[in-house]
Amino acid sequence: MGSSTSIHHHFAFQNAEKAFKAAILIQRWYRRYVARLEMRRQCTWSIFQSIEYAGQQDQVKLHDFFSYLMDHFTPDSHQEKEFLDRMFTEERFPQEAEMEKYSDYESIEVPDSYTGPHLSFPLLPDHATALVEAFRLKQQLHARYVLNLLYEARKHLAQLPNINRLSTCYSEEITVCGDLHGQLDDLIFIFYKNGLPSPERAYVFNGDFVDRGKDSIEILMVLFAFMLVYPKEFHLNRGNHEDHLMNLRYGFTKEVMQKYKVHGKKILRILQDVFCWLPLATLIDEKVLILHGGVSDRTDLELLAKLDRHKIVSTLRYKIRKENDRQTEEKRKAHQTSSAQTSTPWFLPQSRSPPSLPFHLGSDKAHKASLSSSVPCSALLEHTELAWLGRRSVDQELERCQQRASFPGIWEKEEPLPQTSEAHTVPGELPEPTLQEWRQVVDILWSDPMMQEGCKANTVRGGGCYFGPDVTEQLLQKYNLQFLIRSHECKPEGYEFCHNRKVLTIFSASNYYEVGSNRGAYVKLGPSLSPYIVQYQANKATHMLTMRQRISRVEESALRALREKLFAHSSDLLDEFKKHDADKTGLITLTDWAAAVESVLHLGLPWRMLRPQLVNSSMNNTLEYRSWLKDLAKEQLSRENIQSSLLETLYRNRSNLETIFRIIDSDHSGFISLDEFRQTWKLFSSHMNIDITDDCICDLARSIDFNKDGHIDINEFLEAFRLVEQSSSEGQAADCPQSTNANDNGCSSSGAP
Amino acid sequence: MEPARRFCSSPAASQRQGAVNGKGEEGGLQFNSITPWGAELFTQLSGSVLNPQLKKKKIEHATSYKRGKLALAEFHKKIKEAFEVFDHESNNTVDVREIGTIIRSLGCCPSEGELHDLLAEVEEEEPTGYIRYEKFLPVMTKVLLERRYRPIPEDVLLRAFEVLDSAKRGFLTKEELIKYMTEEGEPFSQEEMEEMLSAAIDPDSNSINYKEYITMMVIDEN
Repeated sequence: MGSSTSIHHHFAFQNAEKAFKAAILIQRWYRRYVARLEMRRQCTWSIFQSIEYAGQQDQVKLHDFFSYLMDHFTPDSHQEKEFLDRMFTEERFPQEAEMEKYSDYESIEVPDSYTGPHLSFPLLPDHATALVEAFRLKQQLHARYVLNLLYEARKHLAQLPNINRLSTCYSEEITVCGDLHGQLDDLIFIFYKNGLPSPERAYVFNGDFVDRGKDSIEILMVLFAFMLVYPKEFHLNRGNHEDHLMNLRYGFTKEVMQKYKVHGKKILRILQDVFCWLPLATLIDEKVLILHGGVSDRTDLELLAKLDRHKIVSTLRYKIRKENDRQTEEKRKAHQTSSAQTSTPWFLPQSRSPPSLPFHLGSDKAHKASLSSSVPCSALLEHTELAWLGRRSVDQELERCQQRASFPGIWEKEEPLPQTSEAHTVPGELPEPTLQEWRQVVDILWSDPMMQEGCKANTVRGGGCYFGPDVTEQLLQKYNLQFLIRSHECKPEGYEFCHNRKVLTIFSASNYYEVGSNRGAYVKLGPSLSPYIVQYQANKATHMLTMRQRISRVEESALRALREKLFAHSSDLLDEFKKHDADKTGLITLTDWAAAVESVLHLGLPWRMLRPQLVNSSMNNTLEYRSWLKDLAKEQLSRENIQSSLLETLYRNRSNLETIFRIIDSDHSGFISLDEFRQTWKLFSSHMNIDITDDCICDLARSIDFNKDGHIDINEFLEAFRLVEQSSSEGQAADCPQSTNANDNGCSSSGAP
Repeated sequence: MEPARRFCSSPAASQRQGAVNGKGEEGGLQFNSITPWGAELFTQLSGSVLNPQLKKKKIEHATSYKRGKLALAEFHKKIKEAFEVFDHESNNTVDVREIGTIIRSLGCCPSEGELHDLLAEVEEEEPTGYIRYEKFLPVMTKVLLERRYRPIPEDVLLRAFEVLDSAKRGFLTKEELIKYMTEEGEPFSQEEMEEMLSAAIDPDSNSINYKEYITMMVIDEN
């Protein structure tokens, strides 16, 4: 009896122990599975980020290209001169009189066949709501209403201060949203989940409404509409993408021209101006500062509040808009030159960067100047110019000399700067934005927080700085603030606290890199000012997938992009592989492969970890590199009759090429002539040291000119070589955005800083 | 570095060297004053002069040493890569909460308890919430060299499920799975449980056919 119970207990104990051990085993195994998924997810994220930032560095290379042109190219024919003229010509800024012409919407007829939304002014809340609904149904707003809305928006924005102040006493609940980047689904979702704007529900949108996504113009229309309807409760901050130069490169210009073929130009012109009128920051209860990028150790809120923000046209280059342009206009017309430069070409980096930035200004330029200019600079400077030399940097001066030396006849004698520097301000008039003011704005629109203390130049982005927790603390104390809200950086969870919860990054474009790549988020503030965060992911499809499936999808997209990048550097990779293969066996070890790839691409990615997905043809830890490169090419090549090295080059320089084409197509017609194409390509390839024959270029040009009319449709060209960035067409499968599972029972919230 | 110790002046080592070299002509040499490679070369050369058989052995010894060194270098690179993925501030530290992920992605499959022990080895005396690479590398290298925490083979995993499936039906109900995973062993968090259920449970039968599940997961991995 006793023994049987003890045996029974013994068995029972053994079974329990077995079950326990079995459970541990399964859990152990499962946790490893999850960890490996997490690693893949993180690697995928690294891929996207490194490619994104590498792309931004291309901007610098683009500048280099044009600098090179300035230094080395002497036009030897009238056509060439004109061609270059157009490239280097500044865009003229619409003056007040011109603005009226551009805003002339009344003459635009809305045909009866138009089925989209109608707007009448002054706008009513119902109009704004109807607009959201119309866009949700994929309708397009007629150009007339677009222009009208922009006209009104501009009027409204112009009377706002640089730093807007909100109070939670007035609006109990303030919702702050980050980057949207043309992703209308996210905006619609935010309104759906959080409620439409109203006097009780204030909104602040923190910049970067446009570019990259495909519905930038619709987002702008909605945002401006609500701004006009609820002027006290609805606020917008300027982001670094509210900038016509950025738009040229990152897709907004293209979107507008595609959607508004007839009036697109007008729309873009007004937008250029409207962007300049966007406020720079918002302050809640004098305690929470909201701005797009970040701060620097020299951020001066008083200065920011005072400056004339309208004159800061673009944060990509320091160009001041002058009030008495009319005088110079007349002079120009009199001299019958296309246009006179009174500052360095708009796309070149001016001496705007902090000293530590590696731009090629300063000594490099000076050296080049002395080589290429046949006439000593000093001889060209006249007495009047010397007078204001002190106000300009030496770099800019040298550049102007170069221009004159290279392009005789194009440049007239310099007009002395109008006497409106700080030293000569007429009392009551705003001084012109100085370099210092311009930098202030660049800093708040471009900076990123970093973990380390201090403040250093943001070389990754090419503008603004990295600011440490001490900089944040210093600023908060100086202005008696509680914390900062900023955007500008994509975060996997849609938000991130840093600097001891004194800085909150909020990013509202979910699935930014790819469907499933990240969540979006917005933050709500009440009178207590404790941030309450809501996350979402605007795509029903991902909702249904398991974690593994979600990660796999995003991963595949990242790997595709990475393979494309590898292909784009095939020649360099081959050279590098050969170095590791002294015996010419055609094989290299996988270790060497990893080292070689990193030394060519400089992306800082975990190549060993990614190797299984990039190289599937390895044996015994070695790889036949030539066949691997061939396999890569097979994936990318769409046209066999085009020389593969040319294609490789096109891929590598895709975004630059597109930008260059758009610059040449200065009237935004979407066409460039065959000649212009050949010219561009000739210049470009000489700069990049590409050995392409003229014949090849002609072949290329002719093959693109599909209808043989001597003109190349830019979009067709880019499309033909799959250089057009794939729009996230997979995302269109969603009919109604959903928040993810985790948030169904409410919202993820975070406590006070 | 481990290999170097072979050539240190410990009595065992020099004795070994002396034995290898047979005649012991170089018995009086202080090996610890020569670099490991130098010592190896020397013994190689002297050995070959004295005894062709020994030469072969020494070359093998040398080659395996070289291979070992390369393997070690490769381990280090792998560990560094995995670490850097989570080193968001690029200052050679990672959040302590990511260590489990890093270790597991390097091929190891520790239990939570074993992970805890490992953590104790890599943490600072005063835990900062961050793990430094300098502390992580040697510990992780040792783990890899000793091939600790090997992954679980499929059949062992299957048997574990079978233990829980006492009635040998070939499946577990959702409730049973939840009970075991959240009450036994090293319990799952609610999030972990939900995530596992989303992929494992067949919504029609509300149960998990564990054999199929394992097969599916294994394919995923590869």
